[in-house]
Amino acid sequence: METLQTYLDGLFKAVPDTPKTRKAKQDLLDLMTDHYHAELASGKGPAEALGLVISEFGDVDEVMDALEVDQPLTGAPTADQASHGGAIALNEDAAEGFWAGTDRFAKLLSLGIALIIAGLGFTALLSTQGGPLAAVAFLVCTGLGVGLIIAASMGYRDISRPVRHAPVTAATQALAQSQANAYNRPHSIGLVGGILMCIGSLVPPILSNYGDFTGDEAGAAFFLFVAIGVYFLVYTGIVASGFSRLARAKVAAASVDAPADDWTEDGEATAATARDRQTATFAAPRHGGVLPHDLAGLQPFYWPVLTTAFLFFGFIAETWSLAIFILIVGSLFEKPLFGKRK
Amino acid sequence: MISSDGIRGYNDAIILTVLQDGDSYGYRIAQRITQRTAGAYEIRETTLYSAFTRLTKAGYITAYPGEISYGRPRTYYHLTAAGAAFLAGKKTEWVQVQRVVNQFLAEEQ
Repeated sequence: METLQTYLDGLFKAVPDTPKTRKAKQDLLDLMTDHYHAELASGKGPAEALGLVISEFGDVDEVMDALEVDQPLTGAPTADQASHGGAIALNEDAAEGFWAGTDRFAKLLSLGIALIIAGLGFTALLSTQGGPLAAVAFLVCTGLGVGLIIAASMGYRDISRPVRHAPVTAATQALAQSQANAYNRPHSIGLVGGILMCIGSLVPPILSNYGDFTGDEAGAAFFLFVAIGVYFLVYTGIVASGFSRLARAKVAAASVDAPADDWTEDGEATAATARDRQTATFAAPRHGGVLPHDLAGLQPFYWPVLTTAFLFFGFIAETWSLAIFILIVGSLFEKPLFGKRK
Repeated sequence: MISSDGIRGYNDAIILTVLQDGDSYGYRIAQRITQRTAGAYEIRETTLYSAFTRLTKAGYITAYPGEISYGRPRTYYHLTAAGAAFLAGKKTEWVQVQRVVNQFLAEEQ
């Protein structure tokens, strides 16, 4: 009865996922399944039977009232709702929506930054040919990149605001934790790959000293390597932070979180005594780093190393453009590498 | 066909009356209501389930798993003594309500 299941899933989509609401959904599905088979037995075709069952189903709000589900979620809760005692907790569907939005934001932002950096590479490469091509490449890449960054930031504001102070259901937190764990590996690959690309970016300029490349080709390769590295670092860092954000969010024991009725040994359902708990109490939030702990230890050395590199390339090697670029890229890496400064 | 709104307030008593004849499960109870009213009232699934929730909470009915149907145990409902007493009260109340409403709405007096 996949169609009926899907129909009910849709109706319950905005409803907090609790044992009580899950049981209601299952009981309603049983009722609808019986109804459906009765219609089939009376000679109706499958499509007609389904139509009849759905059209005669009734109003799901009536069930919510009886279950005392205070206020079904309609999409993600607003920050305002969350600030009122945290009665509305983020369910798994809302969390999935937030992660999908975070993924979109991560893609757009990292692509925007990478495009701006790559644009410098294209500019360097095309500058040897003379004419307006280099300027066009620079303007197009920078314009597109900035556009993507602005679009990403504007879209993400709407997605992240409702989640900022919202508590989550226990199921959502468990899901977030498992997602965060599952993403550990891709995140590490992204970090290592990104850092390797940035380190590898130094190879073409070094080789150019031995005459393997022209200086412009080496410069272009350097920027492209950095662009790809930054893309990986920023993208995986943001996606991972989306998971960990909900994994360490407060858990709300909302009114609908009371245990569902359970079957006793003599086969009778007993009403759960905790059903009427209306208080919204919160478990202590779990604090955890967004990034692996081993990176946190490197943070004190980050800026001194960057500054040393800046001074080295600037004064010793006299390649000021590279020196300044190290500082710019370094500041971009700080957040994906070490997380937000508190 | 009578709407749910028109009969609201008596759905619980109607369900308890069906259960007075013996334990039954969701869709069977709905069918009994339809049959008994010759199709004049078909209770909706959401109305029925809401009533089950209310009545169980009030202690007027209890639920237990019955035979397996379409891969799942059917939930059967059983009228408790408290439910029977409540139903008796509702019947008395209905006689009075009917008398009062008839004073205004009945065509023939």
